[in-house]
Amino acid sequence: MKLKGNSSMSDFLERIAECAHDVYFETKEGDRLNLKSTLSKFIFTTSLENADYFTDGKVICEDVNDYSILSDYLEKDT
Amino acid sequence: MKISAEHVEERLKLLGGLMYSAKGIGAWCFDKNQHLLYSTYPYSKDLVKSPYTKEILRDIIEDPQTMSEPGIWTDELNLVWIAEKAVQDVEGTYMVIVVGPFLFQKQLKEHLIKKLTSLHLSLSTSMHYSRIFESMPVVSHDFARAIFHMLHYIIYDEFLPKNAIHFKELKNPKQTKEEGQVKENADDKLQLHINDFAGMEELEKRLLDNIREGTRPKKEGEKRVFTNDSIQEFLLPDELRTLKDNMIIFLDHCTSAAVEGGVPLQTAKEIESREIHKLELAHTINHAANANWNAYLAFIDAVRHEQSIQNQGISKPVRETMNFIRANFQEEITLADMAKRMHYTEYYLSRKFSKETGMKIQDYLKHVRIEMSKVMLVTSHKSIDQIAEEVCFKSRSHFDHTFKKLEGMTPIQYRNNPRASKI
Repeated sequence: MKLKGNSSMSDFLERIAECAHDVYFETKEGDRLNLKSTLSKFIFTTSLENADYFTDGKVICEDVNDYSILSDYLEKDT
Repeated sequence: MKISAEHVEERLKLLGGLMYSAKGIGAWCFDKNQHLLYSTYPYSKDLVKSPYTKEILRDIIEDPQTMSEPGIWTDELNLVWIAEKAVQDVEGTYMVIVVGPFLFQKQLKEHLIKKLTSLHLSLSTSMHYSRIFESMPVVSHDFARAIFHMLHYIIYDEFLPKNAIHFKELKNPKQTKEEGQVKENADDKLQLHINDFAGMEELEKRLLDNIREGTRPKKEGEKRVFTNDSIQEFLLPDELRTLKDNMIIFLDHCTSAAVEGGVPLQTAKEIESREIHKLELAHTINHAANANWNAYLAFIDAVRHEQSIQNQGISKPVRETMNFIRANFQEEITLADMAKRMHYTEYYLSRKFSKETGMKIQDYLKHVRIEMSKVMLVTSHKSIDQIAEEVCFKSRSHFDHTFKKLEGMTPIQYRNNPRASKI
């Protein structure tokens, strides 16, 4: 699922901490960031300037039940 | 003390230039609302967006101590930041001056780069962040201490007390390394060890205070701080050389502390030189750690000795002779050497020494050698033959005989029961 454009990244990352399993962010360029990882979070947040990075990327939850926890920040799949 | 914004900007440019040219470390200036005003760090645009940098900045702003003194913070990537507020002449206004980031150990840098390569990243992302971490400076504790003092001076034109240094802990460290973080358990260990370094600063202060006051360690167990396993884990591939270099820096501090405790500079320098020589001969980490411990005790004993002879009203030439003996007891020294050093005749020095101390110079030398051998008997596992040789006795039997004469027991008996000594 894609991130909503107006999401607060800091709130999104804090909400990820509530997920039971890993949550990944995949980009078109081929990055696959585990958003529970300290270093990956650093890369994710410092790439904020690149708007395409987020609009083209997608969030993938290892456990489907975690999508509901992050629903406030994710666009519904069409 | 309050200063103008122009003053800060001008001084910060100087500081930034100095830091970057010396070590590639950046200088930053934020306003009190955490907005970046300027930075000399080439990757400031990346790091300013990092949640870890923001967390550090928040803690800096909320910490009241930073209104008057710098603090040292470590973020969740183990990057180190030193910061202080520059209080301005306009009421309630200040800027936050930050120096960093840098790392304390090359292994931490290698760890970050290794982790980066283990992530699933595109070539462009990987290359960009590799450049950031490859260029991350690694500095020693001593250099960080220098930055700490320079930062305050640059802002306020005043000196902090010599041993002032403040390590800070994050107020609300994020719990990001628990579930699903199998790959990152090493981060917890590394973070703990960064905290160990903060603890080591406090410990070093206590050790140096012991030297200044001539306070001997009360328990044999205190020796363990010199052979702390957790510190040894952070050594670079050339582990022994790194440990020795750090110990040599520590011995320099011990020399200063001994001088502050009243030991003449020349004597303290002689002790330092002797102990560094012994340290360099160590061929294992344990040997080096033991050498360091013995050096620490030697400095304390020098201060205690100085305190005791000053109380006895002994003249300067005799005190210097006693100090010379204590600093060089492991060498073949003669009355002729000492007299030459004091610019006296042998007869005059010998008579003066005897009159003031109640002891012949040669007897005092024996007494010092036996005293030092007692320390080695209790604090090391060296053989008696080895100790006899180290304290410059020509033979084991001569050592045993002299020891028994002065202590009422043999060296082995003393090792097994130090409290039973007649002294």
